[in-house]
Amino acid sequence: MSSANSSLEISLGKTLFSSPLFAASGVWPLEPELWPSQALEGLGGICSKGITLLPREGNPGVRLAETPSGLLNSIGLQNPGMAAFVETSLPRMVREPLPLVVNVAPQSEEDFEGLFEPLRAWESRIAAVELNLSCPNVKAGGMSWGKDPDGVALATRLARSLWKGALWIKLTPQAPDLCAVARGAEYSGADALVVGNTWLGMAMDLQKKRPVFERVVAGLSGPAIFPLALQTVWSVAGTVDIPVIGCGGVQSWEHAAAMILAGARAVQVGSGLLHSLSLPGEIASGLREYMVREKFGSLAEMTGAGRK
Amino acid sequence: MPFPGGLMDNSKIWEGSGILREIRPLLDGVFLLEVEAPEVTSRAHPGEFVLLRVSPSWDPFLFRPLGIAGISGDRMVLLVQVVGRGTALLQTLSSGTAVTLRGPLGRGFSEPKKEKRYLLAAGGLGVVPLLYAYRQWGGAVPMELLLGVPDASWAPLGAYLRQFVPDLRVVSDDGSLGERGNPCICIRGSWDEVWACGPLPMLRGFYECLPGDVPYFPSLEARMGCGYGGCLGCVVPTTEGNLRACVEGPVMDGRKVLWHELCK
Repeated sequence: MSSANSSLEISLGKTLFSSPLFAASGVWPLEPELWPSQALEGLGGICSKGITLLPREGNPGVRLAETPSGLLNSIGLQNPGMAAFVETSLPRMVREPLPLVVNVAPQSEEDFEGLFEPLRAWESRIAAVELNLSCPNVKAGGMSWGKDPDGVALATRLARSLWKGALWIKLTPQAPDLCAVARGAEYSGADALVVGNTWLGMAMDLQKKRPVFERVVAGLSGPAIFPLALQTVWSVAGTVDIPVIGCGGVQSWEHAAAMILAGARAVQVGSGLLHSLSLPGEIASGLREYMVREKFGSLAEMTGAGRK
Repeated sequence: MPFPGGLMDNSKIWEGSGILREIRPLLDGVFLLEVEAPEVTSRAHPGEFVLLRVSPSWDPFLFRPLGIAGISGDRMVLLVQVVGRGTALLQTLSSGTAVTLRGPLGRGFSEPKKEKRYLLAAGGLGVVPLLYAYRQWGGAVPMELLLGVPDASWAPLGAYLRQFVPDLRVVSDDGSLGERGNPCICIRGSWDEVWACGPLPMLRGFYECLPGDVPYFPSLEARMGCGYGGCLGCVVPTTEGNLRACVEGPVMDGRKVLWHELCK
């Protein structure tokens, strides 16, 4: 391929995406009339906000705090619950031309059936289900599913038994041994791994002399975490054979290219959209030019080229 | 514009460069910006806002939500209070600088009715969206603009507003500017509808002292992330659940806001 119109098409499982760029879960409205059209250019798909079995009002108090080149968030998975999502949002979201990845957030083993059953009727129109394993498993004393290989394996097995479509497992960088966790997901039937999610941080209110967030901790995202995220992508991509989707701090085409060279088949942008709606389009054109300049015939050829 | 209920229409959102055409101090810690951005000014409506950030740096990372005080031609006026690093940095820019804008955003005030009498009650720089509303409709609809300030150090804001609102009513906490008192006392009167913007305790005070049958529409400020309804960082607790200040607001039905939770 020799023109600046190099194809950015990628296939993940059976689905062909026009671009390797996805809107990460948490920054994209459930209502299509609210989708900012400027951000659509360059995206290959979108990940829904995290959907839990029952509706959640999310966290009280302050939900956002800016940090150097990033932000902390403590939204608390505010969402309408799976029944309302399937009734109201999903039918409208799948009518849009952009492939939809549904992010589901189980809070106990008992949640799985109720989370997946309503989605089955929509299987042919959902590009993938992304399992959010950063949320706490109530039965495991509130520890996040994603922290240990057994929790990840259990959650992946449960989801795999209930969902025949593409299954992405979104890992948390809080796992003490991310590669062990990644292998646990791979062996248990994951089709792809999303690496990763926000990093735990906190902020202190000097006037009130107490933490800014009611839950004390919050998730750090934005370009501040990019070097950390790149390292996790590198590690996991060197460990598993299934596709890795890089996620964390991507704010430029250079960031996306670095993740792909490290072994990511696709890249998600989250907080990046808060900073710039034209980011997906800018990344897409930057990647195309880079591929021409560096003589990569396809993204598949570029994926992992930095490891050789 | 449907109101209440319904959402803003995000097809209006535009993000790009605006040019700073004027920047000057108005009073201590408050400055005025005039930004040229025809893509915003041609589509804005009173009560809507813009997100603005200094480009192209990643630090500060987020845009700042700023109310629109008025529009003339392809320029909009923004009044900014220095509250942190972002607004302090903004204050150092000079005329001719490009800034990044996202907007117009949010759901503003509904079109007023000629047969009704409106009170527009502001606390300090909360006057910004109300000034835009007054400039748009004040000539055709009975409207009074009330400004509450701490003291006479805010006189330059009053003088600025009088260019557009000759019969502006000013009250100050210590009586050193205009009448002595606070807006909560002054809003008692025969109003058919009250619009307000300012500090949360004042907005809550209006809710508590207004007769229950007077429609009350405050414009609420919140920490904001995306501005398009995605991140849920700016929610306001209401009887209908947590609503987003950026798309279901910033102008909300004050009777539905759960003030005790919001003001915690």
